[in-house]
Amino acid sequence: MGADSGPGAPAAVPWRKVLYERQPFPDNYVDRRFLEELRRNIRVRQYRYWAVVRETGLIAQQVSCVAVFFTLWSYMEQGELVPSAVLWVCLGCALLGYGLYEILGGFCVRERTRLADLQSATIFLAFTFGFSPVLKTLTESVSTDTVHAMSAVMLLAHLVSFPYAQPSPPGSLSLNAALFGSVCLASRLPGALHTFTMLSCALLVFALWPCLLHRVRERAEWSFPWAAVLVCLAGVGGLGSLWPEGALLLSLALLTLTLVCPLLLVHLQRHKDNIHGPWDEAEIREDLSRFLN
Amino acid sequence: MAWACIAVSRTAPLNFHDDLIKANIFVSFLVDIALGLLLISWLYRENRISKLADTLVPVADRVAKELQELLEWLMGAPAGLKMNRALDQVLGRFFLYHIHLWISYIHLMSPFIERILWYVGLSGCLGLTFALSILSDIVALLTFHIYCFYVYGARLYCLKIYGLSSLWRLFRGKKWNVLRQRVDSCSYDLDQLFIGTLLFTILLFLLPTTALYYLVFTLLRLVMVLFQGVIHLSVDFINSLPLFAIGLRICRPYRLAEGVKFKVLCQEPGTPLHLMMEINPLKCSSVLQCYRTPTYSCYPKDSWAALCKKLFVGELIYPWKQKTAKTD
Repeated sequence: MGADSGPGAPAAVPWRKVLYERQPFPDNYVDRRFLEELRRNIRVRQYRYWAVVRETGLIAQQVSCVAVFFTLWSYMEQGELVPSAVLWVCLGCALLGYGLYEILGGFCVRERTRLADLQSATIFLAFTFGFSPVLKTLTESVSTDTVHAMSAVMLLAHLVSFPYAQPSPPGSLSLNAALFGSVCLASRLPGALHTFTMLSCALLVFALWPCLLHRVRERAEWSFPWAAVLVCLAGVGGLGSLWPEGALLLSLALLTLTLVCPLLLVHLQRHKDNIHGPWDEAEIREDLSRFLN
Repeated sequence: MAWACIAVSRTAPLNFHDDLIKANIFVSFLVDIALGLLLISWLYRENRISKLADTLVPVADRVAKELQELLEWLMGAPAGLKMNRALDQVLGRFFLYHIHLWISYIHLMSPFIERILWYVGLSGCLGLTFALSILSDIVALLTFHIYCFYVYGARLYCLKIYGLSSLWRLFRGKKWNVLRQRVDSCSYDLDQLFIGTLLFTILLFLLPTTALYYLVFTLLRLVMVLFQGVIHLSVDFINSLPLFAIGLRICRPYRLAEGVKFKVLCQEPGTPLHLMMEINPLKCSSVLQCYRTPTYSCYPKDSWAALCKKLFVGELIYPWKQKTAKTD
C-alpha cells in the first residue's frame, strides 16, 4: 500500500504509529512519514589517496620482510654467508633495535622489567641452540619440493593472517606460520649452526621487527614511510642479486599494492551505500564508569 | 462335562532347577578331570616332557630372532617409507637391547625349564581347564617382552598425540578451557609462542616414525591377545556346558518339560472324554540356554568403535574383561 493517497485511507482520524490501538487503517498502511528516519552513509570515512598509500606501506614492507628473509636463506644455503658473521650481525641489530625501542619509549612505565626481557632472550637462545641439531635432521626424509611448497604456504599464511591493524602483540597464527616455514627452510641448511642462525634471523624479522615498527609509528610518525621504503628497497635489492626476474615481479607487486589498490579503494568509495535507522542495534556511547562507584 | 486330572509334581520347580545346576557342575568337573588325566597320561608317556622342554628354548630364541629382524627392518627403510633416521636408530637400539636382555633371561632359565614343566604338567590332574589356563599364562610369560614393547610404543605415541593436539591449539591461538570443557581463544606471550611452534614442528615431523613403531607392536600384541582370548573362551565353554542336562534330555526327555500336550484317547458320546497327557520336552537350544552354568566368563569390554578410538589415540587396551561379582 502506498503512502497516504491509497484507497483505504479515511481522512477523519490521523494514523498513529502504534501497535496497541485498533485503528481503522489496514495493517500494512504507511503514511507520508514512511522511512523519514532513514539515513545513508552517515559514518562513512572519506579516504584520501595519499593517506591510504601511507598506510599500505605496512603491507608492502611486510612482503619485503619475507623477501629479505628468503634472500638471507638463499645466500646461506649457497654457502656464501658465514653463519658466525651473520650471528654477530643479528646480535648487533637486536641490541640496536632494543636501544631504539627504549629511547622511543621515552623511559615511561614499562609493563615488562629488563630482567624479564633478559630471561626471554636467554630462553630463546638456549632452546634454539639446544634443539638445532634435532631441527637440522627433521626434514631429511622429506623431498625438497614438499619442503619448499610447505614453506611457501606457511609464509603466505603469515602474510594473510598478519594483524595489520594492531601489529604490536604479534598474532598467534601469523607468527607461528612464519616460524614453521622458517624451520622447514632452516632444516635444509648444511650445518646445525646455520640452522641456529636462520632461526635467530627469523625471530628478529618476524617477531621483533613489527614491534619496533609499531613503536616507531606511534612516536615518530614522520619516519615510518622512510622505514617502509628502506625495507622495500632492501627486499627488492636482495632478491635482485639472486634472481632479477623475481626482483622485477616483486617491485611490480609492491607498486600495485601501494599505488593501484588505494586508487581502487578510493574509487569504489563512491558506490558505498549503507543505510542506518532506528532499527539498528543500540550502541552505548557514554562512559558508564560513573555508575561503578 | 469331562475333565482330566493332571498330576502335580511333588517337588517345587525351583529346587529341581538348583539340583540340576549342581549336577551339571559336578558332571562338568568330572569330565574336566577325566580329560586332564587323559592329557597327563599322553604327556608323560614317551618322555614327551623333556622333548617339549628341549624345543621350548629354541622356540623362544627363534621368536626373539624374528623380533630382531623385524626391528632391523624398521631401522632401515621399511616398505619404502622414509623415517627420521636419528629417532629410528634410537628407538631401534632401545628395543634391541631389551631383546638382548630377554634372551639372556631365557638362557639363564633353561636348565630349570624341564623340571618346571614336569611339575606344571602334573597340574593337569586338576582338570583340562586348569591346564589350558596354565598354558595361557605360560604363553603370556614367554611373550612378556612383546607386551613391554607394546606399552612403551603406546605410551610414546599417546604422549605425542596429546602434545600435538595441545600445540595445534596454540598454533591457532586457542586454548582448552578446563572449566567450561571447550576451546577458547587465548593471547600467548612471545616466548610461549616461539617454544610452542618449535615443539610443534619437531613433534609433527617425528610422528610417522613413532606411529610406525606403535603400529607394529600393537599388531603383535593384538595377535597375543587373540590367542589368549581363544584359550579363555574354550575354558569358559568347557566349564559352562551343561553336560548333565543334555544327557538327561537325550536319555530321559520326560524329566525336562516345557509343557504338556494332550492326546484324545477315546471320544464316544455317553462316556467321559479320555485324554492322554504327554510331556513336551524342552528343545535342546533351550536346555543350553536355561541350564548354563554361570561362570567367570570373559567377554570383550569395549565395542568395536571404542576399541578403534582407543587404538587411534594410543590408550592401552585390555580387551578381555572378567565378569566379577562386585561392580566398579
